[in-house]
Amino acid sequence: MDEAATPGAPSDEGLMLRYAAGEIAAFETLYRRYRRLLLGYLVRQVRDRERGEELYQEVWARIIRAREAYRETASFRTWLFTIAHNLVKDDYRSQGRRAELVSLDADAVAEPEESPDVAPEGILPEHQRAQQLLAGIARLPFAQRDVMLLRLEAGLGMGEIVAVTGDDPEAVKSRLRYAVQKLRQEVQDDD
Amino acid sequence: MTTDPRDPLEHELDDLAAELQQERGLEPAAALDERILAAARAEAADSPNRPVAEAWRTPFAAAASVLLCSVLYLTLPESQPIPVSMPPMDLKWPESSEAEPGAPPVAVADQAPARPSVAPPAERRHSAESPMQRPDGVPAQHSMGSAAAQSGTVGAAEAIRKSEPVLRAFSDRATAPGAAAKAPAPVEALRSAPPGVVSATTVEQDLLHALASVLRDPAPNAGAGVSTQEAAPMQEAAPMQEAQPLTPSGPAPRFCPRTAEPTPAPRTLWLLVARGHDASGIGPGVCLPDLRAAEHARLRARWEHLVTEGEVASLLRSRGLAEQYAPARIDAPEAPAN
Repeated sequence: MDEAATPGAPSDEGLMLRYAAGEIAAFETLYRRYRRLLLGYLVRQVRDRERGEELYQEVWARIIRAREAYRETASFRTWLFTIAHNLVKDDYRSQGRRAELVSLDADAVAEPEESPDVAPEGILPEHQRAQQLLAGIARLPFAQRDVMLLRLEAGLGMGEIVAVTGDDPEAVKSRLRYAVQKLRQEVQDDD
Repeated sequence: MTTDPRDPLEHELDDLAAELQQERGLEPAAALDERILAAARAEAADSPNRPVAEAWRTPFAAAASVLLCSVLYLTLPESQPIPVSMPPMDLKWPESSEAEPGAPPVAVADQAPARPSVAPPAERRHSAESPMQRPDGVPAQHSMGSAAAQSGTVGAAEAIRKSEPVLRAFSDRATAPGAAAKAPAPVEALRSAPPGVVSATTVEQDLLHALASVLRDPAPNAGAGVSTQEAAPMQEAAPMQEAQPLTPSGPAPRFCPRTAEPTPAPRTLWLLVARGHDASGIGPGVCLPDLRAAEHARLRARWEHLVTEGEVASLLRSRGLAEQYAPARIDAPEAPAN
């Protein structure tokens, strides 16, 4: 169902404006572009498939309800993931995970948690390395996991991640660097 | 922030992303897709033909706003300064133990809608503590508050006031992309809403009641000096009368008891509201802060297009409210108030 934006295809922003004007087909196109990216980010960030889907639905609901307020000056992708990012943060707060959330110590170690329903039942050999990476990402502290997923799952660039998280660019870069080092180290250890 | 293509971190991240490409198995369930798309369709069906904000950017809308503001400004006689020290909605009726039997309300706010329609003596209503005391010592005898009590529209006004936090939650959420995720979720807002406010639909209904009350009774202060000219269409009111003394028999501006803003003529006022304008009130006891509730995006989108009274009448009929609110009067807004 997913379709990436191809050259010559209407922009996300144009589609959103068309949807705001009542054109449902524009929304469907937009939805297909982002459904997997968004779900991947949410489920792997909250590490719970069911909760991730709830947040996924809420993100789209907010997009739908706020359609008339959308302005083309804002990147749709940044807007979408900003909403998702804020919902994830709220979710963590509501679950009493504030200590992990506010920890800006890039090298802080998070409690390893189960990552239910993220891994497929049968792991094919060619997917093993990807699985190792995903498991490693799931063990990262919140802030590092967040920027990594925004980069790797959502495909956002540095500037977009800075816009979504509202953090200092150097802090974002630092978290990414720590996270990459940690992931590489884990993969090497597993090998 | 620009990305240096030679940045080793970027290379690392690109490599990791490529590795993860092997594992992109998260797919929304079909039912979830359908639920979201159905919601999008439902909202789109409810959408006006164009975004509200876009409509407000038109030169016509800008010109209309300027015209309306001018009309309102000219309507207020220069010799009648606007009272400035007005308490908010905490105006109270006299305590029953202290009040004389049949004593009139000092003002209207948090009480039940059904009030005795007692015309209070001016000297009592505008005592030293009275919020309606004017700086020039002239009592504002046609206060919106007492009119509200008399016209029985306080219930709607109160409902709107209570609904404000809910609507604000909706409105804030929709005002800007960046703010969208930070505003409280509607469910949370509704949970924390006062009893009786269960949905935006209820709020909309309350607003309609308030509007319809204005239409039904375009001169709630008719017995206290509201002129027929005031109830006329705003286009006809443009030349504006000269400053008039504030006497019980002469035309007098009415003031919002909460914001101290002059209240425009009912029909003018209705047009302002219908166009989502920031008017100073939409009827007896309903003031600017209440009116902000009408900025709720959905209501505004809907009301944006209610530019004729026939459409309002149609809307009221569709809600089963037409009979309650005298559609004949709505269809004949030019009828003199007296």
